[in-house]
Amino acid sequence: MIKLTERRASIRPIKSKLSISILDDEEIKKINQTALSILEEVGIVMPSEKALRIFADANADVDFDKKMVRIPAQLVADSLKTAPRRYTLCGRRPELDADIGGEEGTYFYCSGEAPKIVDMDTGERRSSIKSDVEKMAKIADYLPIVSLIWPTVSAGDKGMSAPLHGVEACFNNTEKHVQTESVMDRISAEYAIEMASVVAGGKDKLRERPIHSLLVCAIAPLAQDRGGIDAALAYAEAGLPVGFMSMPTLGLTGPPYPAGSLATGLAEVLSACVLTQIAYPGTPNFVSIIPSVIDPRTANYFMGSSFAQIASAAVVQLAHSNGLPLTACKSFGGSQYKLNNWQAGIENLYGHILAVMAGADMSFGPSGMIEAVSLLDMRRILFDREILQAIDIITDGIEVSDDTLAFDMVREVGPRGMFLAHGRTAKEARKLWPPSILFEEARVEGEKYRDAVEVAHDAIDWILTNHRPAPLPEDVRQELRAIVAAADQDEDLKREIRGD
Amino acid sequence: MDEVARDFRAGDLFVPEVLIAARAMHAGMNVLRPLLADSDAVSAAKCVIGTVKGDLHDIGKNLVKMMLEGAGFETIDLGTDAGPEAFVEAVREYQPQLVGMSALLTTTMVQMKATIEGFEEAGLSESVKIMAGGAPVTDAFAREIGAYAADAASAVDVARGPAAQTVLCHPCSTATGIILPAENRRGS
Repeated sequence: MIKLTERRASIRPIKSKLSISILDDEEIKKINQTALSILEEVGIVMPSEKALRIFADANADVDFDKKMVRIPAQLVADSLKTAPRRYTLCGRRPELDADIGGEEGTYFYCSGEAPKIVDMDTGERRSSIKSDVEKMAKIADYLPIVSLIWPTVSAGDKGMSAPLHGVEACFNNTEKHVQTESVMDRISAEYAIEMASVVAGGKDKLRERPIHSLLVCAIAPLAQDRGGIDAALAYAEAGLPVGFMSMPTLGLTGPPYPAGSLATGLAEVLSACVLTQIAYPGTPNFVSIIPSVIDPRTANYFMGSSFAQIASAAVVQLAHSNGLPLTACKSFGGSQYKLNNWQAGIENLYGHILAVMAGADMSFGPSGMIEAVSLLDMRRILFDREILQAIDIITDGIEVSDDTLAFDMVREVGPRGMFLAHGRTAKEARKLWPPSILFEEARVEGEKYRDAVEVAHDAIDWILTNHRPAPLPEDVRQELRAIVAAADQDEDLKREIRGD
Repeated sequence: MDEVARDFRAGDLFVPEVLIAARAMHAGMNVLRPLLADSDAVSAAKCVIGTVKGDLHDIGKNLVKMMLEGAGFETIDLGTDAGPEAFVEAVREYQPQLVGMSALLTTTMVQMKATIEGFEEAGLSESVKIMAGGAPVTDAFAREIGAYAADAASAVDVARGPAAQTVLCHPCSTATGIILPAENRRGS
């Protein structure tokens, strides 16, 4: 079983020695060209007055009545030149910095944001509340495989300022980089940026070491969310990294072909990257395109399809061909599976291994999500951890050296000898048998066999009881409390979210 | 070694580490034993150990042997494919306190019973503890023949302590030790 001990937060990306390419150069070119044609000829709905003006000033073809912009290919190319391929998503300590686009490999998110949770005490599903966000942030802080943290569930007990309570809950329970995808309006964005400034020690320090970032999801097909785009501009102005996501569903919100849906998805995310680069050149952008299919019997969303998985791996190449870092999204609970069944295992294993081998900069991974990202089961994060541990080993390949060929050891042990009692075996055994929730053995008489779910339950309980994330100074905590309290009372925020 | 065994049971140590500790202990004992003998200390307990007739698998037996040596036992290794007569002869010659038998196959497991019968016929069954083990040996098998089971790590505890220790049998272990207390032995 996982040997749980007290520890300070750390992060561990996975670097793959094995690589795959889904698309060849010609195919990448064709998809890119199609995306550019979509942007130039079909256009994107951009229902933000501010965004439309930015595009108009840059000589894009803007229709203010239809809130539509058509973006010339040259403008796209010129704008993307200022987008950095490499930058840092900072933690509160430099040891927790994710070097995006560097040599470290794929960084994993504990993402979200589900509205429901499996209650660990009763086993019943219920609406999530702020204390659930706090608990999950604490668990993610403890696990090294998690580098980047979202509020994993909604602070459903906090009304319209729930996204801000989620961000506060994360800041208070992890030293790792905190990202949000639910701050989706200008006013909430300003509050969130203010909180991040307080944690970082001021606006300049925040710009210097961005401990917070935003991911904004487009509305497929070919439209942006007004509040999301305004929030993105606010974050970009503050010097914070902003990512854009597209979720084309084949045959529903995108063409019924992986290639076509990749092109529409790419057009959506590029349009927003171009916007932030025009307005604030050098803004650290990243993109994510999450193809899915519909269950044609119900039109339900289904993320775990093999068509979606392969398309999702191809996105890595598309993003990199545009000089942009990529967050891969590989299932992470996007199917209608239960916690501990083979479907969950197969989707998450091949999904994540594709992401790592394709060279994704980041990946949504150990999140605890089940049932199409609508339900959090905290125990699930330890199953994801198992899968990623396996991927870490597999993608590390085989080291061939004098040491590992061990001819001297073979000569020493000889025919019918015992390698087991050799000092080098003792040293390597810890690598060969990493900690796991899967192989628990009964150790005392009468101890019953425990399913991995039970082992995971105990491990989660242990983490929640024993892990103490490094606390923020009390005055910072108080300031954060004051900011969310102000947001709670802010009538303008409510009007902004409602779109009044 | 007591501490090593405790850490092993707690899952903090792996088998290779336990074996290294056992080997170090054995080497230390070899240095100390003559000195202890000079000072009238109790001499080391002896164990005759081997894989039973028809069975050539000796990994488990070798592990238990190393563990016993680490715990200060002097071992007489009969190797593999050792028939009842070889065990009987060795017990007569070396007069050990303990006999260890190992079998990997269900088909050779029955040789344990034959070996015990050999001791009974030779009138030696009261003079030694008999420890048997191997992957197919289940707790039920152990109870059926009036025995107690142990895994590789607890084999030492069982061997050293009173015979009637209650410990868990690991059916999948390559090295299961079973103590056969004289008073529980069939026919006694």
